[in-house]
Amino acid sequence: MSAPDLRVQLGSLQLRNPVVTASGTFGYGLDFVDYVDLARIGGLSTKGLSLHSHEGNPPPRICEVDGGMLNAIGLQNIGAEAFVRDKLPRLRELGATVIANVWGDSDEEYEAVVERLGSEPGIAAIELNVSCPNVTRGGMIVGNDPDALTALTKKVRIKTRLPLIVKLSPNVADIRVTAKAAMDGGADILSLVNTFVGMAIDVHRRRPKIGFTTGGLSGPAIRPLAVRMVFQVARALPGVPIMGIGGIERTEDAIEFLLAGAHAIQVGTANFRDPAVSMKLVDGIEEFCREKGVAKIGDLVGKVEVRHAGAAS
Amino acid sequence: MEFDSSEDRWTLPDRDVRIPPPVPAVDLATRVVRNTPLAPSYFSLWMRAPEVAHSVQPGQFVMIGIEAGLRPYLRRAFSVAQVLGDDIEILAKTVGPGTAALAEASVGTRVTVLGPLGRGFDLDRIGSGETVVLVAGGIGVAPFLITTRELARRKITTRIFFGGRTQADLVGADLLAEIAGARNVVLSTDDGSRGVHGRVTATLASELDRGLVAARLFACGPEPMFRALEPIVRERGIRSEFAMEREMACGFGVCLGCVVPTTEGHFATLCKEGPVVDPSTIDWERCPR
Repeated sequence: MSAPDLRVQLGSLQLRNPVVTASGTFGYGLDFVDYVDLARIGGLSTKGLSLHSHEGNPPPRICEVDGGMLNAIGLQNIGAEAFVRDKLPRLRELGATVIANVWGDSDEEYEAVVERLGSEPGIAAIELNVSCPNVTRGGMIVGNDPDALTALTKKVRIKTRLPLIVKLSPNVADIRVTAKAAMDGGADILSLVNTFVGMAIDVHRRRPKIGFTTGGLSGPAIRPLAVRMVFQVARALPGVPIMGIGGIERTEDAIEFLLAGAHAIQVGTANFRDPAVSMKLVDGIEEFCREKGVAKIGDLVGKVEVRHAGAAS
Repeated sequence: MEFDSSEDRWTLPDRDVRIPPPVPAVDLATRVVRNTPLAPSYFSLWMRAPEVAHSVQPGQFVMIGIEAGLRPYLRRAFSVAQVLGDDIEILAKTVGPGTAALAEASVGTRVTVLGPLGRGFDLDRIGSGETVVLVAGGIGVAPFLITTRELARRKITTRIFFGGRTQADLVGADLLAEIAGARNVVLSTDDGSRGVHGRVTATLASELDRGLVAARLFACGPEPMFRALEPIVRERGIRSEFAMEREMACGFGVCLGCVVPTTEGHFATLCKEGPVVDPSTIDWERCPR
């Protein structure tokens, strides 16, 4: 059998394979060049970029929990301008497919950062972060209100011709509602999910382990929740390109998301545990397809066989 | 060189540590070659890691993962304590699931070792006849074994202040005395069970007041020790470097979890901009207590 075709088409965004590294877990890509050939993975999503640099939350910012971690970094980043000047040229040389993850603390700032990056050569797509749980303005506050999300998506939609990905928060009663709201605003692609709001307490000192009190839960612990949400959105909005995110580490985890209805996946927290995990996933997915006689990766998308939708209906 | 498994003594490497320029980190899937309990809750763990052993600089660290299981999930950061041939040693105290898993690792246990990482101590341009002062608190002694050996190799006089709560916390004290000479190691304990009765910072301050001249001071220990030490070195204008510690998820600059506030109003990552930092650049008021 010839090599399986791993190429993925998400609206107008083409990726060489379905493995993308998730925002906030891959820096601006360049810290990984000792471990990952950036031209071999499907793409990378940058640390959330704002128009100007942002210093983030006071520490402590992270703690480990069973099966993952909590973080409240608070979107520390170097700003769009510094990214374009200091990081993007090298990323282009390395052949990386760059997705610029962006955020603002007001609609105007979201618009401004999308406008700044939305026609920059070397950026393949914009990912709108409307789901960060660790800031007090912007982020999840916008993304969890369907009307505000539609309005914001419309505003940034007209600022760029690049494919527009909206990254959804799982901290909602029904993610299909916000998924539809983002599509109504003109999103091309949905990525889901961001982290779940969690909390951990140091019982000896009687204080939260995270300085922000709450933090976003990520890692294998959230995978079944994320798979269910991808399944729900895929069923509710057939044909909408989806990137599945949540605790992916092994090949089987990635395949699970594809079967649930994702066209591509993003690997996040696992990058911390194994900096080369994204490349291993590309190899693993290819091997899986070979073994199962899958000619095109797209043949797996949404192919979970269910008799009924369970509680996901 | 292989360890003799019948030899249960915690041995002193017989080779000089040569310090090449920094090299890119490598991620090794490797194994534990030796695990020695040292004192209640302390242990010395040796792993085969040639690329790290041949290039690590004093003060640099590695991220170690135990491959099986989800608890611990993330790797843990450890200073490299010693190197011997193709092997590296970490010294650790069991405090949580990560160190507990490593404490129980037997010879042959699979581990991942990512390193060498971060910025080590600046051992260059120290004049002959000058004295380097090392200040260690508890398990903060770990980076000072390799550091002391390198200073000894360079024939630089080293004076070591090593404190702990009690005598069991002075792990490695005898080894330091072997390397640096017993008269150059000043031990102290909070309870007076070994060495001077009192805090390591008090012992240091009194020697400085009696005329000890520190060309450079390197420190590693718990946060309260750094807080007590910072004014001592600031007021005396001693050029100092602190090897600090924070929870780290990645170890190479991307998770942004291990930050410390700087006097410039930013957050610096300890994994990349440290773990060895100039204390005068840290905003101690904004460090969490």
